[in-house]
Amino acid sequence: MDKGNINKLIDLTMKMSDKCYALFENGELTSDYQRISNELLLVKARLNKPELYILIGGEAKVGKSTFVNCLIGEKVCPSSDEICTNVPSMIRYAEKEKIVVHFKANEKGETPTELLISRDQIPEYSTEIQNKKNKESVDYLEICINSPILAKGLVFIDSPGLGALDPRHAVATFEMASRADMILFLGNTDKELSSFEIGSLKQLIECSKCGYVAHVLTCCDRGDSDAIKIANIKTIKENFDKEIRTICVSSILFEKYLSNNKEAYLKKSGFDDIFSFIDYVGSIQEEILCSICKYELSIKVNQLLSKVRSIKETTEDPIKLEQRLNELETCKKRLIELTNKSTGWKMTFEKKQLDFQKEISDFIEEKESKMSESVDSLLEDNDYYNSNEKLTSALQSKLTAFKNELSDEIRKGMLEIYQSVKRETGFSSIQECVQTPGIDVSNMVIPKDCGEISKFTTVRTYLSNVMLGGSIGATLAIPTVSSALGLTTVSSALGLTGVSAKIGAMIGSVAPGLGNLVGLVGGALLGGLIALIFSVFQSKETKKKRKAAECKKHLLTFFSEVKKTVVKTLTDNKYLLTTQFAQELSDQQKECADKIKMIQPMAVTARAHWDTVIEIFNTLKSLDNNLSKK
Amino acid sequence: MKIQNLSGELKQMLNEIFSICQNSNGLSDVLDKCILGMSELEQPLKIAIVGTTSSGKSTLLNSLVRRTIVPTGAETLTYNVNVLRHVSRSPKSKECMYVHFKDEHVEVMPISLLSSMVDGRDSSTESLRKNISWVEAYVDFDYLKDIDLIDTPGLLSTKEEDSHNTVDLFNDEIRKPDVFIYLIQRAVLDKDIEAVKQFQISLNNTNSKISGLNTVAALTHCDYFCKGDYSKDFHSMGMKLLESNRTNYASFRSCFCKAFTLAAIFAQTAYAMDDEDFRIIKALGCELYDELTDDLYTRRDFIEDDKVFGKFIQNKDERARFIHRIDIAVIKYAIWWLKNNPSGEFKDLRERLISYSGVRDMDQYVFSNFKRLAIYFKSLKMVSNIRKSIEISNIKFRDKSTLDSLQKVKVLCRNFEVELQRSFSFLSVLVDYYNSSTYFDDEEWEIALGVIDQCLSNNPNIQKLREYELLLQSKLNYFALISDIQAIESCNKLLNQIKLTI
Repeated sequence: MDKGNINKLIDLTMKMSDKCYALFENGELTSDYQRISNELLLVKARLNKPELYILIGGEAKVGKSTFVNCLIGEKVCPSSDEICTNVPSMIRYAEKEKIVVHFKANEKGETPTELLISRDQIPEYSTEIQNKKNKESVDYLEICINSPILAKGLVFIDSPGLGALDPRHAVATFEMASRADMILFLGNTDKELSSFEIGSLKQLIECSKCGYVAHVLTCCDRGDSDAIKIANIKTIKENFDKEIRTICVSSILFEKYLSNNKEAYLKKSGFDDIFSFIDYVGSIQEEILCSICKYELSIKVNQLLSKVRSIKETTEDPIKLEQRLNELETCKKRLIELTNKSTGWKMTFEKKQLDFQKEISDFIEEKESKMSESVDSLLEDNDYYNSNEKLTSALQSKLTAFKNELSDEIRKGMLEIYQSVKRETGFSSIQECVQTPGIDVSNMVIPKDCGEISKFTTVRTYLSNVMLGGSIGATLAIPTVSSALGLTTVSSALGLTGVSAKIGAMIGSVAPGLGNLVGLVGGALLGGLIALIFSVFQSKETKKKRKAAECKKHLLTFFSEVKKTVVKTLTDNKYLLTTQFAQELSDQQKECADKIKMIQPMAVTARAHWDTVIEIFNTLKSLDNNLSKK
Repeated sequence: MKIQNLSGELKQMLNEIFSICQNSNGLSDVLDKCILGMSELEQPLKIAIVGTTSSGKSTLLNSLVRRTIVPTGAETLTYNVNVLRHVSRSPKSKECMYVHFKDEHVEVMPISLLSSMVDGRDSSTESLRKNISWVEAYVDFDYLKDIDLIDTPGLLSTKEEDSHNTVDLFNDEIRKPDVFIYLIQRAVLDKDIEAVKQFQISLNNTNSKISGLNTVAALTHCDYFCKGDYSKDFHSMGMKLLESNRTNYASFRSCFCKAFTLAAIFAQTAYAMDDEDFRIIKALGCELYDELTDDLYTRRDFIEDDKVFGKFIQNKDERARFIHRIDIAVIKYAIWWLKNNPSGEFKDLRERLISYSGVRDMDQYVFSNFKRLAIYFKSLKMVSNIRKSIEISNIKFRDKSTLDSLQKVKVLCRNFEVELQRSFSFLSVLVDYYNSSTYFDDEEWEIALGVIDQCLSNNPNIQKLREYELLLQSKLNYFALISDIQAIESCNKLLNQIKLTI
């Protein structure tokens, strides 16, 4: 089948597609028919372009730009060891040199801009060093130069290559590959083909659908190139069904040939093989293009045919028509149902969500009180009591467990809510995405000085204990006084006269004072002792209590943070669910409405324009038959 | 606790645990873990050389042990994983190799057979080779006293079993490497990063953040950059390429803590060459300088050219052997060098070749800096192992004395772990430093480690710290000048540590 024929077929298919569009789509922007028409235009352009597009592909940094420069005999693509190409270049023939930068269309959908540059400016747009991460947003470079090899209608596409750290390079390469009619896949003689290279070559072939591929091994002037060549030929045979030629080249030898024109160098450089291969492919260029385009066309025809067939069958066949009408009926019903029930559904979820929030906050409360208890029990252990670091790590590990439990709890609860939503509404496409609170356990730290009592407090405790002792001492002194009194009584009771009575009286009068003194001193001593004991014994207890209290304070702040985070997470989760629900609801409503809009007139239109439908159908069918013929 | 003294402290702890366990019966499990830990501590640093096919793994290995012990070439060659160890650790205490077969039987063979055992080209040993799981070679070379070298088959080879052999490496405790040298050819590609990540995951480091700390990248075949002009410094050209990768891609920074450029073939050949070879090259050089340096001759031309080469070595087989041993690039370089140093001596040339290759610089860096990190990782693993076995024993035993001993061991471990964690927090400071977009060079690494050690030690040398403070301050000024925010941040972190300690 020749080019003219295919062109005619493409035109015919486009006409059919346009007719379908006019009949059934009422000017819809996202119409399938229109898309097919547009793609057919591209196929037609590819078929009728006067040039052969040759993609130079391969792993990053394999020497693609160097190879292209060598082929055209001029250094137009920036190439050096530390330079990396990041934007594709299309190199085609022109009598007068012209280099155009094609920028990408921006988000606003404005038409892509172009810029004329000089040859020195090329690196500013096509190398990773100067146009880092393609910040200039270049689509591709069009380099038109006056080079004899291009005059035959060859266009070389220098691609950024595959496998680079930047995925943009691969994307750009594949975009270019979709236009290529022939691929030269570069490798290096310093190593065998890797499984990665095999994979990327397969992808390139799939993407371009082109029939002619050669594996070019560069630097064949080095090392054991023959052994590598043999190994690679074997690997390619094992991995590819189609024939892929392997050509060994050496750019150094080719440059030598260019400088001294000795045929021997050309032969040794391997470039004559490349040229003859390109010539061969060029000679059958039309054939290649026809076969690629024919294939593309047949795909499009099949797509159209299946669409028209279904329209035709539904209109013809009473059972199918019945089915369509039933479909229409269900759609209408569903739409009404959706509208009526949506408020009820929303309220149920709100309630569920509230219950769940309550549940979670109860859960946290419970855990918090448990944690606070565990602080007390931990402090009983001297190990933890003495080292705040250990205490911290113990608490942290407990908190981690808590955190996991909390996350599980939230996940479980949310999933339940999701499931109930799905169950009740039948929105099966709602995604169950649950966020769990990001709690950083390491925030919970018991500081080094926690639980230590200041000097001032210690002194105060001590003093208060001394005073306590004093008062106890005074109390103890009372019996002494009374005993002194008793002595007076006794002495008087003895009935002694004169002196003895006086002595007795003296004793009696001194005794209370003495007794008091003894009592006070003893009391103070006792008080000191008690204070000492208290300060040793009681201060430990107080310390522990103090420490516990402080730890709990830290826990409290930690938990208040947790609560805040949890509330936020729950709100986020709720938002996720409700937006999904709302989205799904509106989607389904739209879908139903669309379907109704589509089904209703289609049958009507099809019946009204029955002759046209039949005509389109028959034309497409004969087209399909025509194309599937060998 | 200093990172440098870690092994000493660890040994001390293990000794204490050892004595505690010996005094109470029934703690054999814990004891076993201790003995295992001790022996692991005695183990040399295990360095694995990994990379895609033909990236030069075996060449690097040969130049590290200074003799051609494994076969090299452009094709996919190395078939099995080879571990090179010092002869003193061999059960036979002489050079030999233990071939471990897949059915778990082991055969002892002379070391001279290593080449044919692992060479994928050798069809005579093919059936045997398919059954080999790995090869353990004991070599008499001092370098291996502290280091085990592991050579691996290439990744991403079209031959599937190669990748399997490399992956198996990580499932085996004895061969699990501590450090990776990842070889890159031409440029860092996506697949390289993926492969490295995979390794680091399979080593299951406790913290993904520091996993990059045990991997260095080496760009090999760098001599290709010179293209006949040997006056150019290929190291700086290769570095430029790596540098752009490092500044542009976070994935690169998180995978490798340091990058080198290599031309290992130069070192390998330098060690393989003898005076006689030098004489031949010298004679060749006088006649052929102009023609040889312009890349006219390929290897095969060279052997076949009777007119040129036949004058020096008549026998064709001998000629082939000469060429096989001495790479054509090295001959070209030697001739270029002789041209510039007409009275040059063999030992000067050898020295030039070795320093030209860049292998020595990398070797020194890897050895001096990674030893400490390896000990750190080992310690962390060991302590967790011991603790696990304590948990198990705790359930098993009821009598008081055993439980007391266990408690003691537990306390020891816990204290040690706390200390480790402390040094670990410093490590993450280091990692931040690493991940900053500028290179973390030798000097900076020394400063940072010095700061860390000083801050960690019980009696920090205040004067020393002040010195470091000044050094860091100057670094900070530099970073501010180039407005590298990440580097400034990490620098500030270190300065804060100093201030805290003072």
